[in-house]
Amino acid sequence: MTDSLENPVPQRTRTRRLVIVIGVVVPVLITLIGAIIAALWIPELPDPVASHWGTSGPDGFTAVGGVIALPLIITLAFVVITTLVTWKGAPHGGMLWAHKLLVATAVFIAVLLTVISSGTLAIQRGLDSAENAGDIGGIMIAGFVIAAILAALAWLMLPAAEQIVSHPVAAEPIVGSTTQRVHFSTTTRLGPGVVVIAVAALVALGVALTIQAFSNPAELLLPAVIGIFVIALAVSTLSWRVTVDHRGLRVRSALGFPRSTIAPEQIASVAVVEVNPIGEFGGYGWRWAPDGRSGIVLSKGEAIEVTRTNGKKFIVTMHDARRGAEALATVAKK
Amino acid sequence: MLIRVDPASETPLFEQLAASIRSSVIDRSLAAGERLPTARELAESLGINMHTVLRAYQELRDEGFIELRRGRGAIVAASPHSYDSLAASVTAVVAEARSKNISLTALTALIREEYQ
Repeated sequence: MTDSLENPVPQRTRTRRLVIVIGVVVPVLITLIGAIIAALWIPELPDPVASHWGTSGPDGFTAVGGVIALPLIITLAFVVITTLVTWKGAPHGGMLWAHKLLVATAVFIAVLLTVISSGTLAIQRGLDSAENAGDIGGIMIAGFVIAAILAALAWLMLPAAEQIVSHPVAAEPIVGSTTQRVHFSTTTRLGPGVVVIAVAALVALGVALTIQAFSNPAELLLPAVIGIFVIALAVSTLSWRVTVDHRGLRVRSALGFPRSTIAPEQIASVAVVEVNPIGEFGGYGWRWAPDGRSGIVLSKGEAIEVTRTNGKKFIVTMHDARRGAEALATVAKK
Repeated sequence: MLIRVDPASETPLFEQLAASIRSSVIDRSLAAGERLPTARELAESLGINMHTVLRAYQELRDEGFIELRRGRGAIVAASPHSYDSLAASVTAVVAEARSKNISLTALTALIREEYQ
């Protein structure tokens, strides 16, 4: 109450200002200043400049424009995502743990890329050929240290993370004769907003792999394997089939894997709970929360929460969770 | 979609099954275009005969609630009209009957008489 008298600006507006200043203005300014300084060095730099170092000195070369522009492009893309994701804020107008992490990461990425980009250009000033560029180990270490310190400072300047308390409501078995049999099934999907971001990220990953395939095919294998695995896993977890029947609760992703089953005798209780994916699970997909809960978290809102006999909790977000929970409570009771 | 069947009930199983799916479409817990479990899956899930499920699916297809496509299984049909007002009226009628202590049998008898 006193808060509103002393400070008429609502909490949500203050949080947004902080996100804009620390998560957007600061990172963009840092990369912009770095880019301007590096641009002033262009007359003294060799053409092309060294852009990649192997174990025995520089082994990749490119036009200087790319080295200057890359930190700016990546930082701009990241701050746009940060702003979009954090804009709605936590339920009480503050910031969630994941929001703070995003803002601090924006600072980290901006500083790290700027130090590496301008640092590697700085040691090439006055060289006739980029082949003679010195070692950059020190610049990399300095970049990580400075970025980590500034990101930590950014974290400390943000408000304490809002805790989300979940209120499970126990589900009652469906009233009926002892001979009744129940079946509940539904398809639960990732919300359209999240799909857009996920697709954008996957396209970026695909583009990065394609560029790597053309520019440096020799080092393609590992990134390609990891990339394809990530893409397959992401696509398979976009949509899940949920079934409740006498065999218990079964969840199966669109591709058939991953999948999981909880048998009726493993179920201690069933409840319906409201879930905030970013706030409680730090994101979407098959998630593990810091409080020990795990589950299929695809949308904000209703979810079935199953407490197993070993105390572990499993969550599946879905439309019509109350009916699903009642069906599961019915088979668990039998 | 919630399905409840009771093998001990006098109503034939395929009719109980069709009634459950029909009300899921009407109350929108099944959306148009959504795929139903295959007859084999649903039969295993409920511990009933696959032909019972197929018979219920065929009845729902004849009523226009679902489409049966070879190789694609059963899909909830896109309805030209919304069932929202029907669902609301049913809820209202049941509430009214409850408040006047009219039994389910009496209510269904009333509806049947009005319908014929």
